[in-house]
Amino acid sequence: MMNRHQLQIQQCNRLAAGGRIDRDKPCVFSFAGRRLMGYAGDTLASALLANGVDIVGRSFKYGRPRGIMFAGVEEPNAIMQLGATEATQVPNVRATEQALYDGLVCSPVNGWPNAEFDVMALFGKLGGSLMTPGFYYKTFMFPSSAWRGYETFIRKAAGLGRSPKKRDPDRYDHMNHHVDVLVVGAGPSGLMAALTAARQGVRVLLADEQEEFGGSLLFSDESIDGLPALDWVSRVRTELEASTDVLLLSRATVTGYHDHNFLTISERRTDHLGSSAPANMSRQRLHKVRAGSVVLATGAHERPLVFANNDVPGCMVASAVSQYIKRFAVVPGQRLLVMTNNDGGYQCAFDWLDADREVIAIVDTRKQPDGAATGKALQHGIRVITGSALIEVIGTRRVSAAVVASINNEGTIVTGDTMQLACDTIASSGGWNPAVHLSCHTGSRPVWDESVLGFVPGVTHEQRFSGGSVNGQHVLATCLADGISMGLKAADSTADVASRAGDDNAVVPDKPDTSSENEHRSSIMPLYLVPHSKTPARAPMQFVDMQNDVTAAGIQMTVREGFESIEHVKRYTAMGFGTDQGKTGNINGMAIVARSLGKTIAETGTTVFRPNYTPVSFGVVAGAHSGELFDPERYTPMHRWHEQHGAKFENVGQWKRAWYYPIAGETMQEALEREQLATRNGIGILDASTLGKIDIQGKDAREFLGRVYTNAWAKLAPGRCRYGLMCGEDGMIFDDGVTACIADDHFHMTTTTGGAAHVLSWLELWQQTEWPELDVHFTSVTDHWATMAIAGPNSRKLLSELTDIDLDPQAFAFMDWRKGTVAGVPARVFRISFTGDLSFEINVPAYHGLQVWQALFEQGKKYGLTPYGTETMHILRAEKGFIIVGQDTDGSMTPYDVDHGWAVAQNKPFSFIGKRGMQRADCVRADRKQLVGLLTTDAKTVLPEGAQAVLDPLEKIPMRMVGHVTSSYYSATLERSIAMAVIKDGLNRKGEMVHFPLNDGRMIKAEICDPVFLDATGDRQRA
Amino acid sequence: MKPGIDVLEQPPTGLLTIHVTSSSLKAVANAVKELFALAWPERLQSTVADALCLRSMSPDEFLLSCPLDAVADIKRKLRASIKESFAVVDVSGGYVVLELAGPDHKALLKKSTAYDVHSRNFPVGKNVNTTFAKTQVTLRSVSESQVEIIVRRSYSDYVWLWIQTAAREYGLNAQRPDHNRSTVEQPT
Repeated sequence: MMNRHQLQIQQCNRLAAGGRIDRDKPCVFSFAGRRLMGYAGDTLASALLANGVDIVGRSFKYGRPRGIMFAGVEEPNAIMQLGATEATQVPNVRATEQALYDGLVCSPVNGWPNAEFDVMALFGKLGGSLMTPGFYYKTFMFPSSAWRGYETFIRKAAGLGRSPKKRDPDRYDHMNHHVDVLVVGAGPSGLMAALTAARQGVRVLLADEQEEFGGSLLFSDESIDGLPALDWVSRVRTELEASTDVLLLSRATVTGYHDHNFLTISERRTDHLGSSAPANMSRQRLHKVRAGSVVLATGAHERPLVFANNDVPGCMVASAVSQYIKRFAVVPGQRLLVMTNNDGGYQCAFDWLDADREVIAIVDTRKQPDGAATGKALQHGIRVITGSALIEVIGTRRVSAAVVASINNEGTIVTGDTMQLACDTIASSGGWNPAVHLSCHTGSRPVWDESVLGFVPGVTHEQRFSGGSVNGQHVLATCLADGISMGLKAADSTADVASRAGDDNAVVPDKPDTSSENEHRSSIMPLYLVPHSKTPARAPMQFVDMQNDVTAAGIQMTVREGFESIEHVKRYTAMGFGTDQGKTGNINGMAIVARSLGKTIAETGTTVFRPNYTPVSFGVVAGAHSGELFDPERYTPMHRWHEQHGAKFENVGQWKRAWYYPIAGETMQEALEREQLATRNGIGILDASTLGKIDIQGKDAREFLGRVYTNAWAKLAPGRCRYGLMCGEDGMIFDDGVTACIADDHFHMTTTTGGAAHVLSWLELWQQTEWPELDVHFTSVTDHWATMAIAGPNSRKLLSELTDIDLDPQAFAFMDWRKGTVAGVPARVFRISFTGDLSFEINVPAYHGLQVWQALFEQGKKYGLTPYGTETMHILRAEKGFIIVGQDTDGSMTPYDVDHGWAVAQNKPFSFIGKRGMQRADCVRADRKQLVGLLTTDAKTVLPEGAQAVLDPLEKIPMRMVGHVTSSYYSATLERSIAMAVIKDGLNRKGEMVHFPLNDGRMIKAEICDPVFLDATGDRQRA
Repeated sequence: MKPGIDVLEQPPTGLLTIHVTSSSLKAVANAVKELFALAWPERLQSTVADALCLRSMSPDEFLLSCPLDAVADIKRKLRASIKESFAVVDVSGGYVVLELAGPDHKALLKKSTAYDVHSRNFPVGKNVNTTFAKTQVTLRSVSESQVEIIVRRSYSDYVWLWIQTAAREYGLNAQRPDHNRSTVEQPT
C-alpha cells in the first residue's frame, strides 16, 4: 500500500501553490478501489482530476468512456456511488458537488461491471444504429413475453446507482423559516442583494449551494473596489453575519420553488465531514422557507458546443477549466485547445498559461472577434484561429488531437480543409444558459432572449425578482448593480414593512467599481451544433445530452420521424431525463430541433423544469419523521401498566390499545379464552380511555342530540344513559355510542375511538352552518377522562369496596350513571355494558387514571380481576350481537340493515340527519344485505372475516354472492364458533343454510340465525 | 456545556375550556373581570392575573388555567354569575403543560412548527393553536425567553420524544415528574 508521500506525488495535475484548498489537511479517499489523495477544500471531482483520473464512468447507451466536463451541479458524467458501508450507500452523487473528506469511498455508478472494461461498450459498438432514439419503444416492445428478460438487462445496464439495503444510520431534520427576503445564490448579484436588503432591516435568508460564498468570484481575476474579488466577498459576508435577522446557509441548495413563495432548501450539513461529523448533527436538513420576496441570483451554466466525439475524456467547458485551476490548483491536462463563440471562453487559456502549461490554440468561431480578450490572447502569444471550429476530436480514452476547419459565417457548413492539432484537453464555450430552473417551478415559462442567446426567467405571479447571470447579464458591474436594485425592491415589497427595524438608518450600498467594467466586448455568435464535413448522421457522434447519450443525429432523426413539439422530442429521445435534468444539453438540443424545423429557438420553445433543481435524498424529505416518530402514538394514562403486564397492542387510529395480555407461554388464542372466561365467570377490566368523549352543554343540547342521533332524546332524565346511532344525510350509520344526561342542559357523549374527531367536527358543522340558533357548545374531553370498564358477575362486589356510590340495583340501575368517588378520587360511573354482563364504566380525570386502575387491581386480587384487551372485548360483544361501526358496517348500511330499527324514532317533531336518506327506494328494497348471526355446522370451524356467502355450493364460477362475514370468533363461553354477517334479505332467512367457498378449497356451511348468541333476555347486564 | 434547551413539564394544572357566543361574549368577559380581576384577551392573545391565565383559542373558545384545586370553585362561580349562553368544562386531565426555554428554544420551535415564532410575529402574550411536528399544540409566548406548550395528554409522550430528538444538537435539560402517580386531590 502506498504511503502518504507516494499518494501525494501521485497528484500529477496539482499545482505547487494556489487554490482554495488546505494542503495541511490531506484527505485519502478511494475511487473504484484505488487509494488516492486530495486536500480539504477539494471536491471529489477536483481531487480525481488532480490524480489524473480521466475516466469516471461509462455512458448509458453506448458504454463510451466519460470524463469530468464541468465543475458544478450540472455535471452529467461524474456520477458516483458513495459510501464505505452498506448502510451508508448514497447513489448518484455528483463528484463536482461532493466535498472531499478523509476516508471517502466511491465508485462510478455507470459502468457495470467496471468503468475500465465494460460489456456495454461491446453492446454499444455492436449495436451501433440499433440504439436509435425511441430505441426502447421500438425494440423491446415485441414479443411482450420477452419483456421480463429485457427488463432485467436494461435495468442492470442502465446503471445510475443503487439504494442501500440497510437502514440509513444518519439523521435528517426540517426547519421552518419566515423571512422577508430569500436570496438564492451567493455570487456577486446575490451577495449584493442580500447586503442591500439586510441594510433595510428586514429578515433575510441567503442560501448558496457551494461550499463557500462567492459564486463566479471564486475563480475570477477581477477586482472590486480595487480589492481582489474574494476580499470583497468576505467583507460582505462579515457584515451580513453581524446583522440581526440574517441567516446565511452554505452547502444549501434551493431545490424547490413552490406556490406563494414557499421554497425548500436542502442543506448538506455533514456530507463534507465524513466520519468526523458531530454525532448530534443531522446529515441533511430541509429548510422550509416562507418568503415575502424571493431574489433569484442563481447564475448560469456554461453551455458546451456540440462537435464530433465531444464526449471523449479531456473535453470540458471553458469555465470549468478556470475553476479547477483557480479554486483547486488543478490543471486537468498538459496541452489545451480552446473553442469558443464568445469572449468568455478566452479566460481559461489565460489561466492555463498562468499555470505554466501549453495552450495550443484558441479556435474562435467568429470571423473577426475584436474584444479585449482576443487582444490579450494575441499579446500573450496565443495562436488564435478565427472563423474556424474544432469539428472533431481524435482519441477514445483521452483526447489526443483536435480536427480544426474553417466554417461559414452562419456556422452551418465547413468551408475549408481540415488540420489536426495535437492536444490533450479541449475547452469549449458556447455561451451561458441562465439557471432559470427555479423560476419555472411555479409554472412561469422562461422566455428566449436573442441578445443573450439564452432563456431568461419569464413573468410570474409571485413576488420574485431576478438579476445578474440568470438574466443573461455576465458583466460583473451589471451583476452588482442588479443586486442592489433587487435587494431594494425585495425589501420594499415585503408585506410586513411596518415591522422593519432600523428603516430610518437604511443605507443603500454604493455600486462598487470593478476592473472589467469598461472592457470592450465582442458579441457572441449563435452557434450550438458545430458543423462537420460529414452530415451528423455520418459524422462521429456529436453528443447533446451526455447522460442519456442523445446525439445531434438522433435529434434530427426524431424530427424526421415527425416529432415536432419540443415536449415530444424530449420524451422520444430522453433528452434531459437524467439526474442532471438537461442542465447542459437542453438548449443545444432545442437549437438543433429549431434548425431542423426551420424555426427559431423562441418558436420551438423549451420544456420547463419541475422541482427539484438537483436530486434530494429521501432522508431529507422524511426529516425526523421516521422510526418511532413516523406517526404519533397516543397512549392512555394506563399505558405503562399494560406494557409492564405484557400486553400486545393494536393500532386504533393513532392510539395504542391493549389487544390481549398473554401470560407465560400462552398463545393468543389461549390468552383470549382465559380473558373471556375470567370476565364472564368472575371479573375482567378493559382500558376504554380511548373512546371519544364530547361534553355538550347549552339549553338546546337535548334538541340537538335529537337531530343528530336517529333515536329519541326528549325524555332522557339526568342520571340516565342511552345508546344512539348517528347517520349521515344518506341514512348510513357512521358512528354510535352511549350518551349520558348530566343535567337538563348538559350531556356526556361517547363515540367510537376512531370516529371521535370526525364526530366532533360533524357536530360543529351542523351547529355552525345549519342550526346556529341552537344554544349548544361542544368540548372534546376524550383525553380528560381515563375510562376503565369492569365487567362480570363480581364487578358490583369489587366496586362496592372502593366507592361511596350506592350500587344497589334499585338505586343504580342498568343504563344509569352516578357521580361519586372511586378509590378516593372523584369519578363518574356509568352502568353501561359492551359485554352484556354486569358492568360499570369508571371515569376519572386522566391524571388519576393509573392510580385508580392500580387500586382496582389491588382490591380485585381476591376476585381474580383479569385485564382483557380489545380482542376479547370484540368477542364478548359479538356474543351479544353488538355491532362495531366500521367492522359490521361499512358506510352503506342503514340502521334497518343492521336490525337496529328500534333505535330510529321516525316520529320526532323535528327531523333528524339521515331520516330522508334511509327512506330512499334503494334503502327500503327487500333484498338488501342485512345483519344476521351465523352458526357453522362444525362448531370448531371459525369462518374467516370477509368470506363471501353463496346459496348453492355447486354453482359454477362465477358464483352468485349473497353476503359476507363481518365478525367471526371462537367463543370460549359458548365453546363454539360464532359469526356476524350481512346476508341479502338475511332477516327473512334465519334458519336457512349458506355456504362459504374459501380460496384454500374448503367449503364451510353455516346456518343463518339471530346475532344474539348469549343471554337474549339481557338478565346478565341488568343483574 | 450548558444545555441549549430547557423543558419542564408542569404538575397537573387546572384547565377550563370556556365557550361563548358572539352575543354572550361581553357578559362572560365582565363576569371574569369582576370575579377574578382578569381581563378578557384579544384575538390570539392571552391575559394573566396571579395564578390565572386566559388564552384566546378561537373566536368562541377560551382556555383558562388555574391551580388544580381552584377548578371546582371557578366553575361554580362562573355558572352562578353568567346567565347567557356559555359553557365551562373541566379539561384539566386532557392536557399536559410544558415550559420551553433556553438559548436555543426558538430553533427547536422552528424545527417543530411551521408557525412564525420570530418575536415580531409572536410577541410576549400571543397565544396560537398550531402544528407541532405531527400533532397540534397551543403555543403561548410567556416571555422573550420562554414559551408555553399545551398538548393533549395522549400526544404528550410523542411530543416528549420529538423534543428529545430535536434538542439533541443543542443539549437538553428536561424535567418530567412522574405525574401519573400523582395523588393530588381535586375537590368536587
